[in-house]
Amino acid sequence: MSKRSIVPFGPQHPVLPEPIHLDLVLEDEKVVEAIPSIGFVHRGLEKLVEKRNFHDYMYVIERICGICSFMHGMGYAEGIERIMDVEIPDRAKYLRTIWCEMSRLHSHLLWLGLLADAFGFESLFMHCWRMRETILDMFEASTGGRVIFSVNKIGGVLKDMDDSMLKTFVDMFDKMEEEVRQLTNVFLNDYTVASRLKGVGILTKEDAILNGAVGPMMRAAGIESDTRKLGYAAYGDIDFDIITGKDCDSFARCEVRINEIFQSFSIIRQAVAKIPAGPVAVDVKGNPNGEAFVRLEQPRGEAVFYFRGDGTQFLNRARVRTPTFANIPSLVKILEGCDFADVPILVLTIDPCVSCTER
Amino acid sequence: MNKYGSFAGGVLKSLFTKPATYGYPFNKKEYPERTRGSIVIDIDGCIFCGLCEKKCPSNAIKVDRNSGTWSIDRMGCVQCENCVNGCPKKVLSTNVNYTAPNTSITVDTFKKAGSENAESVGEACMPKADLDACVFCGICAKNCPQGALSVDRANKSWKLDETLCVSCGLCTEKCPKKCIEMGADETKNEIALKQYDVDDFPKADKKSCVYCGICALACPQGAIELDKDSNMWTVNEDKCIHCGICYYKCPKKCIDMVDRDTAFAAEEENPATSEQTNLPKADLDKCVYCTLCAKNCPQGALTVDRAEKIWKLDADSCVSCGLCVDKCPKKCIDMSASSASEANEPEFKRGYDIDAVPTANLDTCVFCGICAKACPQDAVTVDRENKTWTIDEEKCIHCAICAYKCPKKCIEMK
Amino acid sequence: MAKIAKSPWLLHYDGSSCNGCDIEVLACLTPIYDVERFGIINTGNPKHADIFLVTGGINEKNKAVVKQLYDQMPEPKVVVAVGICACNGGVFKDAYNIIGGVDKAIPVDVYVPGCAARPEAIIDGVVKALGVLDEKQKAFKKAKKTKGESK
Repeated sequence: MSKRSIVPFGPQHPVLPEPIHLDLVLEDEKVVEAIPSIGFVHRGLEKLVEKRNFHDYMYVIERICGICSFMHGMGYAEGIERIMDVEIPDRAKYLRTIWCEMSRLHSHLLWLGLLADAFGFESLFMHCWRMRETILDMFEASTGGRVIFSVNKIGGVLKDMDDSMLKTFVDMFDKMEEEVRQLTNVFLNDYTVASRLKGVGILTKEDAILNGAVGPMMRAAGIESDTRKLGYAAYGDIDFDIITGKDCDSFARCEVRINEIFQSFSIIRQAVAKIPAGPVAVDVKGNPNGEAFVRLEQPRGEAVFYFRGDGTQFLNRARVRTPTFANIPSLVKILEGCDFADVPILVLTIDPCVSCTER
Repeated sequence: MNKYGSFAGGVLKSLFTKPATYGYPFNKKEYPERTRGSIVIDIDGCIFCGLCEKKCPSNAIKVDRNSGTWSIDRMGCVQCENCVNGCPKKVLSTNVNYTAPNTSITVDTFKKAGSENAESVGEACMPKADLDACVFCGICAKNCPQGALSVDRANKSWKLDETLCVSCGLCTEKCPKKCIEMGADETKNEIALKQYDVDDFPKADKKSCVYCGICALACPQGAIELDKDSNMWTVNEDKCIHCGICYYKCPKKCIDMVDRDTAFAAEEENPATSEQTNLPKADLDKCVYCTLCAKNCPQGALTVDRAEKIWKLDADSCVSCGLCVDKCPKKCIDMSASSASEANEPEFKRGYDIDAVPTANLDTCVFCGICAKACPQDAVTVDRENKTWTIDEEKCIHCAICAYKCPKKCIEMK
Repeated sequence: MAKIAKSPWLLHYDGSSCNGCDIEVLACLTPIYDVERFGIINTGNPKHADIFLVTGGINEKNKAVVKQLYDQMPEPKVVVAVGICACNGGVFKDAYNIIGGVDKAIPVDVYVPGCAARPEAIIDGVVKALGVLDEKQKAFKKAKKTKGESK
């Protein structure tokens, strides 16, 4: 007769930098059930919409999360532009696409580093984050900030990247691609990595659909769906395939994210080649009156935004459904039946961004 | 690829290459020029319009117009550059160096030299266009950072939205005909400065009158009588000195200066008026503490503090004129409260002798000329270059409008 | 410098932060900034730690957690509030769920501004905190000595 015990995987733990609380019900080192408890990061910023002018609210909404900060700002700008029927210049659309893909790059490299740290491979963690610093330097040179960019505005973008800067970036990306390829070869081929990741945390295709998984979680289970194909910003003009995986375990998710890194390199090159000249912003006058839905592909999955305005300078409602929120039921599902020592890896494999979840 | 030694190549390479660490704090990095480190201000160019304070998403900037100080909480600034982009005088800019950590909260305050003698005269002076010289080009409206001006070329109209104006003075600067001036604290809209005859009497439009009693309070001769309950509003023909102060002070703008016959014509039956005994009450869930209601209260009965989230009404000063309800951008005030301390009968305060003549205190006077412009009899002469202020006692009708209008409050009736 | 300040161990906790400052704290450990040259290790156990790095503001739910972590740390200890959300609430000062900065729950010794705070600023803040830690250790030793003598 095996005994059950409850271990609190508390808000403070060395593996994740974020506070999420899981009560793990264990039966002799196997997890039987996981009960999540969130709410440590909740700030209530959706209500701040009533106190801040809709132009100034951009600076609040991009601080929902420090990793996907650019895409939150972009989702907000797109939403308000749709309500007010503002057509932004093409150059702004391409610039937004380039910054989006750079965000995706740095987010995936960050995740790879944290995953390596979680299964004990500290040197890989250091290498991944060292390479990420090159991207952060590029962000600083073009937008002014390393983590929070503040470069989106309603009607376009605030800063421009001229051709020489874009050419420098593409050269740096070419050099980086070589190094990243050597690094990801370790992830894909090494024996120790494979033994930790293969066969762990299987989420079948039916379960993924039932639990509403989004992003790489869903694509690794074999479902072909990518919100970028909707064609917002400049994605309509760019060629890219949807990357899926075959096995539905953690290794497949790692593979999907690694392939997305190389796909981002290719998308950035295409965007830089096709970017038109012109202004980067238009003036917006008046107040938003109406509502809009926006769907974006953030590094962690699909995010849905809803905004409603009634003609004054304060919006009525801003609602964000972030991808990690949709992935939590899948997390609870894959934790059932796993080993206790695999819990940090499984929590990391959904790419949790708890501050996005709780806004 | 060898699955046991896939990382071996990387390890060997790191043994022989230079370390990636750049060795802070012994070596310092050079930041690119766009880096957002901290905000700096050129305080001599600042006009204390307060736009940066409104735009700051974390309320880190405090602007005090009266004392000429601009302060920023360094531990509250998010370096978003919203203030830099929004400053009409472009005195704010970004420095690449970050603020150093400290053992306590750092607040930097900057004071403008000589700000007691400010060229920005007093509080809340609004621009006024000389409609004879104006060509309705619309440049002032395009440059207004608040969008407070609307200029219509076809209909020859120039309108200012008082609630949005922050007295930054940009319209005055940009006007190609130099026909805008700062210094009127009422909008003149299409009716420039109302010209009326010296013998005109005031007459209130009963339909819009709310019986707030402000005109009666302001009348230096006590010539106006009004009664809420019986819908009565009359002016005493003998006492009235045609100064027009009731016309200026009426918050509903329902008093007009008309000739004697029109003023004392037979009244139609009294129209119904709205219930006046109620006091305004704000819905504190919707209130954003923008202080617009307090700024527009003619009695100064409202206290609104944005930082401390206070909204207080002094029931004794309130006259139920309903202006706060009109001006609230969130429409969160309604006249629904009734106070136990019902308003006392507003006492008639004159405060000065009927023959008193205005005298300006030349130490505090800045020779802005507002009193001269406001004087309905043109009895005041102000010379800015020679720093003189004179009153023609024969023309003066002792209405005290100059004393009321002076932004420095340096005129006394003696 | 006293012995303890030659190799302080860090405890990092995120209380309602957007993760920007947390990534920069982790970036301090990575090769480009590398605080491990100074003997600083990021530990997960509060009983091993000397410096408590807190990012993000305090809300009702994590007030108890922050206090508990602080109480578990052994004396002498210093608290560094990283980022403006930890200093005074930041852009979320008037959100309904945020009470304020970290000083609403525990006493703070060093404030590091920035949104997100740069790794160089965090290193500066930690170095300042080491100075405070020195003072506290001297006072602690003195108090122990006088207590021992009076026994």
